[in-house]
Amino acid sequence: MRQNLPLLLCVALCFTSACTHYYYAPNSLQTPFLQEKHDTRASIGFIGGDEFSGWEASACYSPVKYGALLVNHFQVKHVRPDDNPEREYGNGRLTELALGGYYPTKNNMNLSFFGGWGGGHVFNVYSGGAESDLRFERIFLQPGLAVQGNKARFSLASRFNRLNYISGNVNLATQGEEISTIQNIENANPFYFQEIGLSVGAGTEPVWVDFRLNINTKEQLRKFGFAKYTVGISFQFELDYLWRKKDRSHQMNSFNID
Amino acid sequence: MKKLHLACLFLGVLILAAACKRDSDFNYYYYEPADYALLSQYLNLPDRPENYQSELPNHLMALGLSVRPVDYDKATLGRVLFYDKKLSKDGTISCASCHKQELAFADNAKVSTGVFGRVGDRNSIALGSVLSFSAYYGTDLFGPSGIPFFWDNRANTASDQNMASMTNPKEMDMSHADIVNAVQAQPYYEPLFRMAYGSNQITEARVSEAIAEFVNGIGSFKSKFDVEAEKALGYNAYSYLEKNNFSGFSAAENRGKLIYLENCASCHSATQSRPEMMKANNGLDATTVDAGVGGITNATDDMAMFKVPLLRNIELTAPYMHDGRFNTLEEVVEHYSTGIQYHPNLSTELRAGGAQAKKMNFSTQDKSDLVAFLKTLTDQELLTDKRYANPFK
Ligand code: HEC
Ligand code: HEC
Repeated sequence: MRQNLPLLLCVALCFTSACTHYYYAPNSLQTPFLQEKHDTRASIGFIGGDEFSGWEASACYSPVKYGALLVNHFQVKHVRPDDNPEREYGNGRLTELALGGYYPTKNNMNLSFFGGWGGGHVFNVYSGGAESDLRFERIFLQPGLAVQGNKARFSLASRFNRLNYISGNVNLATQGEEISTIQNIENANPFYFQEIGLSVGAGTEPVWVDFRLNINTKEQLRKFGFAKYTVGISFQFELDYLWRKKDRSHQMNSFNID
Repeated sequence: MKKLHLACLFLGVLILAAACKRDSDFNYYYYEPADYALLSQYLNLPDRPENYQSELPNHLMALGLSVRPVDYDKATLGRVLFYDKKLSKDGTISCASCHKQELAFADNAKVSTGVFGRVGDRNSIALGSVLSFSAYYGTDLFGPSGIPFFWDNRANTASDQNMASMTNPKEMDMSHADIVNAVQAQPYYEPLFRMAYGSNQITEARVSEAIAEFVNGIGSFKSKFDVEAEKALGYNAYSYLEKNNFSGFSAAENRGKLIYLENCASCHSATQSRPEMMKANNGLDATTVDAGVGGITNATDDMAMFKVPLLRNIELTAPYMHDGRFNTLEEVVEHYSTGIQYHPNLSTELRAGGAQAKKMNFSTQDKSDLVAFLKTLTDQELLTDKRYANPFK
């Protein structure tokens, strides 16, 4: 029996890790490289983490010089192995709006700051048929720094979050651990934590490809089913390029006519 | 520039508004609210299933016993079925009519009365006489060494057993189709089946499995005897020769324990866990009146042989023996003291060598000590445990 203990522990660990349900995962920290009034960026990408994956989209517009508006949408779901007899499942989504400013410096640097508000929900189905659906709101402040060259770019941002689960519908048709996680979330609500986002991109006007890593820095939140990190790849389009070009050609045309 | 200021202001207001802590509203439910409302019209069920998983105390685990996992939804469904009189031909009898919780799930009648006042053949067996049907006793889970059900050991599993009870003309007298129809006719079974089986399809096999799950979920191991046995873990409290006392027992109870270990434990089990043999003849009659196991196997060796019952809660389960012939424990003890009859199949433990019945010839003190010991096997918690109680309004 003694000798079997490591084996048993291993089995137990594998077993428990297979049943991880998430209640929060970081979406990408956007640093949209805005330069001037009317700049417009849109990006779409794939994102995922340990046993979950999905997509996200983001759009950004500068209505005034140094001012910006940002919209994000993020949704992921649990990657269910084909041989999962328990029918466990999970998905989550978040949509948010942020306002902020940017400041491009002479040496290709771009500073930005956003404050935003959004919400979403996480839905989980557990072995045994129980279900939970938690709704949350998140507000954040996010300073960021970006450097953009001709063919490559890099960004680093930090997001300070206040996450509040505003409601939950928990169908208890189960006898286990997971429900106590939800009760713990309810008791510990709201959560304050910091996330860090890194991105490395390549491309050239008007299309960029960025590789992203988003990390939740607060280790204690793991026990509430908060994912530690997400990784993603996204494609950003500088939409303004389209009409700017048109503008320019229009101007040229008028010159010609004149 | 003005626009930017406005935006900043808007942002500030937004963040302030969100930062004021709003009370979150978490709503936990087990049954869908509509289902629970329906169930509540007929039943007193808690809003989520009870825990039917027995956790055996260490002194029983140390014997290598274990209980298998119980499905709470099936056990909950089984509990309702167990108490439902609709499951009988004339709507007057449920399992609980002959297995009453306040009597450790025994019946106080000599022989029980079934549907249409039909009188049965044997005394009801207390479901609380065993520590748990899913721990070795009363199940085929452990292969041929598992112990079967009924006085004559004729059913191998709890499902076989309850089908036999439901279809027995002297008990509930239902045909197989009757069972399904009766269950289908009751609105409260639809959600219960859905929770237990993921679909509301009602079949006889499911009915039977659910009742078995409930019966297997009944456990009795919180008697004074168990409390003391737990304390005695680590030294042999069951050796007649070592004469170790239980510290919390009275002198009479400890003396009774020794008498029990010497004269009774070789059949009924020293540890009250599982009987030492599946069948025996304890000398009730000199000739075969009820063939018992022999009635099933037709073997001469099995004539008048009966299941060796466990004695948990024995204080509550009078009358005693397969035919309910003894009304008190004193009468039982008197039987073993002076009344054992010689039958060709009389078990060797009760023989005085050869073809002679043993006379234990207990003194008056011995008898009352033995009875005092038997009364330490009573588990009061079982009698009022709400998990096993009648759920009907
Ligand atoms: C009319 C009375 C009556 C009804 C109703 C009844 N029983 Fe019994 N039960 C008995 C009797 C009598 C015995 C012993 C019969 C025998 O051994 O031949 C018994 C034996 C048992 C045993 C065997 C216990 C053991 O240790 O071997 C179990 C388990 C049991 N019944 C469960 C049930 C269930 C479940 C139901 C409902 C489906 C039920 N009974 C309905 C009278 C009844
Ligand atoms: C040879 C094994 C054997 C020995 C030894 C034995 N018994 Fe029994 N006992 C049985 C059997 C078999 C039955 C069931 C007999 C029947 O009903 O036909 C039984 C039944 C009983 C019952 C009734 C149980 C009930 O639920 O109705 C009690 C009480 C009891 N015995 C107590 C004792 C005591 C006390 C002793 C020791 C003085 C003892 N027995 C010794 C085999 C034994």
